[in-house]
This record gives sequence, C-alpha cells and structure tokens, in this order.
Amino acid sequence: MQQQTIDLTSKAATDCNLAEPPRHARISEDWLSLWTGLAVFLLSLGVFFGVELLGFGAKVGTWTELSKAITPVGATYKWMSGWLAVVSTYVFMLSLLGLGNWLLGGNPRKFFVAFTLAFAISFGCWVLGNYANIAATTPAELQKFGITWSLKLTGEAGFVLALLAGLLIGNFFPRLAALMQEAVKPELFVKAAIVIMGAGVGIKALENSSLAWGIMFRGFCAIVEAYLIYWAVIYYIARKYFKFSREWAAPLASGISICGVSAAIATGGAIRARPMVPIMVSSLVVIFAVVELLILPFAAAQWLYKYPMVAGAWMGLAVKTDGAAVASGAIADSLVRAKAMSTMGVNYAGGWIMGASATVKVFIDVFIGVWAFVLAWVWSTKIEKREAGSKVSVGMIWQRFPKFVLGYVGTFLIVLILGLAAPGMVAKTKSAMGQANVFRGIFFVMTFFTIGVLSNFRKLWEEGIGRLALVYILCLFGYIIWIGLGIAFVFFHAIVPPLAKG
Amino acid sequence: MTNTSTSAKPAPAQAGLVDELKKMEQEYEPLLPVEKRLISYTLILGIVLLVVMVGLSKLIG
Repeated sequence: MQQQTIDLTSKAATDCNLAEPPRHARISEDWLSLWTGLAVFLLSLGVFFGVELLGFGAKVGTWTELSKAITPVGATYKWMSGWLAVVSTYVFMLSLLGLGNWLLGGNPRKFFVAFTLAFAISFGCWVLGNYANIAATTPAELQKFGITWSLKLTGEAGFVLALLAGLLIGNFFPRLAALMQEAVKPELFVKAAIVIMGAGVGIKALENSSLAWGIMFRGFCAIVEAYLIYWAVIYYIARKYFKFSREWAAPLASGISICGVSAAIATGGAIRARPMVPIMVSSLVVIFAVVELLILPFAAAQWLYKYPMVAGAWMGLAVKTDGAAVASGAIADSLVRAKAMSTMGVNYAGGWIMGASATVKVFIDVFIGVWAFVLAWVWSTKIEKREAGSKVSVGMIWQRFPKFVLGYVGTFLIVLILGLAAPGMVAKTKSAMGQANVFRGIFFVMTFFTIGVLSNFRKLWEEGIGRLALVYILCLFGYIIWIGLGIAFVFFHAIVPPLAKG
Repeated sequence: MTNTSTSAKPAPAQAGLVDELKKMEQEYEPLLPVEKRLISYTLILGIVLLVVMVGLSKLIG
C-alpha cells in the first residue's frame, strides 16, 4: 500500500503570515525573506570591489533641523542630498520587494500603492523618532544640538511611533489599512532584517568572540528549557482547568509558549487540527504580541538595566512572533542602554541586547520543526492512532525548518570567515555592513508599522474568543513572562555587552 | 485503525466559535494517560536539562 505522509507543507502551514496564500505563488514567504536579506547583504559587499552599491541608502541621524536629518550612508555619495537618498532608497526597496511580491503572486499595482504608503509613513515615523528632543541620550548630544531636555528614547523611538501609527490605522482607518494590505508583510520584513543581522552578529563575533559564542550557547540552553517547561504546563492548564479539547489545547499551548503564529500553525498541522483552530490562536498571538511589545521593553529598561543581556534574552523568550520579539529586542537595546548610561554612567555598545533577542528567537524557530515532529508522532501513534499507512515523515523537520535561518547563519559565517581569514578586511566588512544596516533599519521600522496595521483589537470581541483570550492572558502574563524572565536571568545574568568605544 | 481525529469534520464558520467553545466545555475530553505522560516526561526532562545546562554554562563561563 502506498504510504501517506502527513501534509504539513501547505503555504499556510509554513508561513507566519495570516493572510490566505496567493494562488500563483512562485516562492514561499520564508524563502523570499531569505533571498531578500541575502540580496541586500551581497550588494553591500560591493565595497570590497571599490563600488558602494548601496551607498545611496538614506541614513537617519539625530536632528533638530530637518534638512540635516538624512544623509546617504556611502562616502562616495556625499554629493547626494538627503531627500534624493530617501527617493533612491524608496525606489530600491520598491523594486526589490515589488519583485518579491510578484514572486509571491501578488498584484504589482496594488503593491505599488500599498508599499508607497507604508514606506512613507514608516520612514516618516523613523525620522520623527530621531528628533533630538526625543532621541538624544548623552549630555554631549544635548549640548551638540543646543537643547536642554530630551526624552532620551534614542532613535529607536521611531519604531514605537511606527507601531502606534500602524495601530491607529489598523483600528480606526480600515479603508486605509485595506489599501496597504498588499504590503503588510511584517514577517517578511523582519526575517529579511534578521538575515542581514547575521552579518552584524558575525562582526560582533570578530570583535568579542567569547561573548558572541556565549550568547549562542546560552540562547540554545534557554530555548530547550522554554520548550520543555512552557509547553507542558500550558497544555495541562488548557486541558485541565479550561476544559479545552486536545485539538484546541495543543496549538494554543504552542502559540502561547513557543513562537506564536508559526508554532500554532505547525502544531495544528502536526495533530491534524482543523485550519480554523491555529488561525484563531494566531489572531490572539498577533494581538497580544503587540501588547507585549508596548510593555515589556519599557519594563526591561526600568528594572533590568543592570542585566542588559537578560533583558535581550527575555524579549526573545517572552514576546511571541518573530517580528514583535526582535522589534522588542531593538527597543530594549536602546532603552536599556540609555537607562544604564543615565543611572550608572555605563555606555554599553549597541546591538548586543537585540542580538540576544534575535539569537534566542532564531533558536526557537529552528526547533519548531522538531517539536511539530514529536507532537505528530505522539498524536498519530498514541492518541489518535491514525490509519495504517499514514505515517509521520522525518522530512517534516526540514519542511518545518524556517529557511530564513539559513540566511542568518550564512551571513554570519561569511563575515566571520572573511574576518578570520583576512583580518585586514574587517574595516571594509564593517563599512559594508554599515550600508546593509541602513536597509535593515528600514525593514525594522516597516515591521513595526505593519505589525500595528495587522493588529485589529476589535476582532477579539467580534469573534467571541473571550475564553481563548482569557487562557492566553492568564498563561502569558501569569506564567510565560515570568518563567521566561527566570530562564533569561539564569543563563544571561553573568554576561554584559562590551562598552562602547570612544 | 480508524481515524478519531476531528479533522474530518467540516470547518464551521467563525461565527460558530462561541458554540464550539461551549460544546467543548460540555463534552470534556478527559486527559488520557498518554497525555499525562507527555506532560510529566516533558517537564521532568526540562528540569533535569535545566540543572545540566546551568552547570554547563557556569563551566564555560
């Protein structure tokens, strides 16, 4: 008899995107994020051949005069005005992502309108967040800009502004939100950003290898613990006290405890739940991830500024969805460093806290496939005892494997090997990554904005998912966040980022 | 063996979610021994690995 394997390869099952899969997709969103991030990374390497292919990238700095807010990142583009740099950046990203959208089977005309609006609002928030009275953190900066006060939120305040703008549009301007729908792809943006970030982590590994490897090892430890301790307890609570069926409890436990949307969908596929189950769980995940994003980085800055790496790992462990977790890490990175600077006078180097969040999140994603495999095996052989011939395939682990992680690891290794093989090239590598990072920043700010647009809080009440929401709130805020904090503290309290140079 | 999964049921409209949740409460599926084993083994493995990994991370420094 021909053996049937459990189908977990559908677009809906492999992507974190809640939208229905397009009819003529030529590529999955996961693969697309890998190629998009790699394209930016590879173009940035033009520096090695004396060509700044991404030198036109619009870099936003702290400002009091708008005309001085934006500059092209490349030294050979100094002749270019800030506004021309913005237009060039927009055209480049429109072309890159427009091609991607076409490969996803999207509508180019709709995408043009949607992306133009999303880019304009996101970039506007990014610029506004860098206004000196919002972003300046040190006395030297206050003096430089001739101001007497600042909110000291750093330029990353632009992320929060973008999120708030997105929430406003998503909840109060549904027509505008619908107009932007074609470009509302937070998971694509953040995964592309993570691929580029791999190179940044590679540079950090060259600068401080023991700390970088320490973060990776601790991130791995934290994740193993999170999977094993989170999932079992949430599943038990959902089954025992909230009387959920197995079909609902398993995706719910994965959604709350692991990586939100993708874990809920993977688990739903593994136990053969009806499609509506993981989709409903995913709605909750997205909404509460935004709530966490608005609260946890600020809580971390308030109470964890003495343990900056704990703050970063906590964001990766507690905040669900890749986008919100790495976004929280980015905000925590700036807020925690600003707080450490103002209260202790310690100026930590940027990027390490967010690096811990991203590393933890990447490990979480890697293990989703393994966990889905384990659950599929338990369900098919012990709980549901599926038909003879219906078999759980080990290939499921690869199908579930988030492909963008290959990009993250790839860029990390390329930079690391380049630096180790030719130490004299490290300066050029940094220059190249400086250019790629401009685009990573734009991917980030668009992630924040589109997460906001996607989060329709009214949906919670319209669909009558109060009981689901209750178990989610209780488990997330009563258990996950605190256990995540505990695990992050156990593994990360002994390490701190290096001090900033200069 | 027959497939006892609920996957064969037609997907109800989202409006039926409230009914579905009520029905789920009324027709409670008790925890099977295998589920209890899955929960307890996972938790025990997690706690054992916690001790091992904390030790390892201290060893590595």
